[in-house]
Amino acid sequence: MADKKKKKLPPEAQKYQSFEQKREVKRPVLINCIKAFFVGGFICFIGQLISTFYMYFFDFTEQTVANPTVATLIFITMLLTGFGVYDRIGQFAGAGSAVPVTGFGNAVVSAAIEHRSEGFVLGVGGNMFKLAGSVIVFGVFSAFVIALIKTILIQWGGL
Amino acid sequence: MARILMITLILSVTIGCNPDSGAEGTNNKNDVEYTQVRTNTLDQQASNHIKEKLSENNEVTAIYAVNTAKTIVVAMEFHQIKQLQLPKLRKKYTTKIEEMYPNHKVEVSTDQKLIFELERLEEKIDKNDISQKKLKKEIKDLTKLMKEKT
Repeated sequence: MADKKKKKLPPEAQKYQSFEQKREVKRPVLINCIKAFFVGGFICFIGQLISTFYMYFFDFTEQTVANPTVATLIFITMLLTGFGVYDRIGQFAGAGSAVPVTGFGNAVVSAAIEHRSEGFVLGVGGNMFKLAGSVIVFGVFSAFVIALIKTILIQWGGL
Repeated sequence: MARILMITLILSVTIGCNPDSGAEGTNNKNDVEYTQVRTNTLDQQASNHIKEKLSENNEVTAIYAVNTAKTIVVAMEFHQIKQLQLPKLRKKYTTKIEEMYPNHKVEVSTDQKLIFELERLEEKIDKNDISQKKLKKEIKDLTKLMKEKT
């Protein structure tokens, strides 16, 4: 928090804050990162298995296999979210379960379940993309940035 | 707990980045994986020659090739570091093979699907399990599959 804001606080509040800071349990950032790394990696590993399965047994190439793979992963997430398993995975792994496409599926499905009581049109339809909307916006934006970097690397970097 | 996780992480990264990893189980001096298909009924001399020639390049890790009288289909695997240059490499090897066999239609792919399919096809040819007509059809289907975008 900004120190300027702190100085404006009454002395009692400042005292409380220093008291609280000493006692507050610290976030285990490193362990959280490692958990996210492994769980996220494991989800991607499952995705790779699914896409290899589709390539091996069906007529999909590397170009076209992404569509059925994403669909399958989101379908599995939908089931896991419905049964309440994905919440636990999310609690354990944090970003590791939110960043892959399964996190997107979870955001859509959980919002749909949550607002089911408000009706189909204004409840489910209106709120389904409340969380996932930001994923779409920043997904498109980061794809744009990555495309820029790739273009620069290929055009001038000699890659 | 944290220490164990840390050590596992460092180990997995360092082992994963070892340049020699994945080079085991290959069958010739340049560590390029390919099989010489021997058959009496279907002429696979062009494919065998291409495999032998291209395996001299260090950037290649595996080559699969099948040919008919008019078409040659080649699937290649490159080192991980070359993944961003695949379109360039495809072009380079297509022209190389076209120079070797100017009368053939050459298709080069780096797709995993083509690698699976050509491996299967090579096995069938090796066992004399496929007729000329069927091979032609399979190759036609594969070239069609290569051009699919959606």
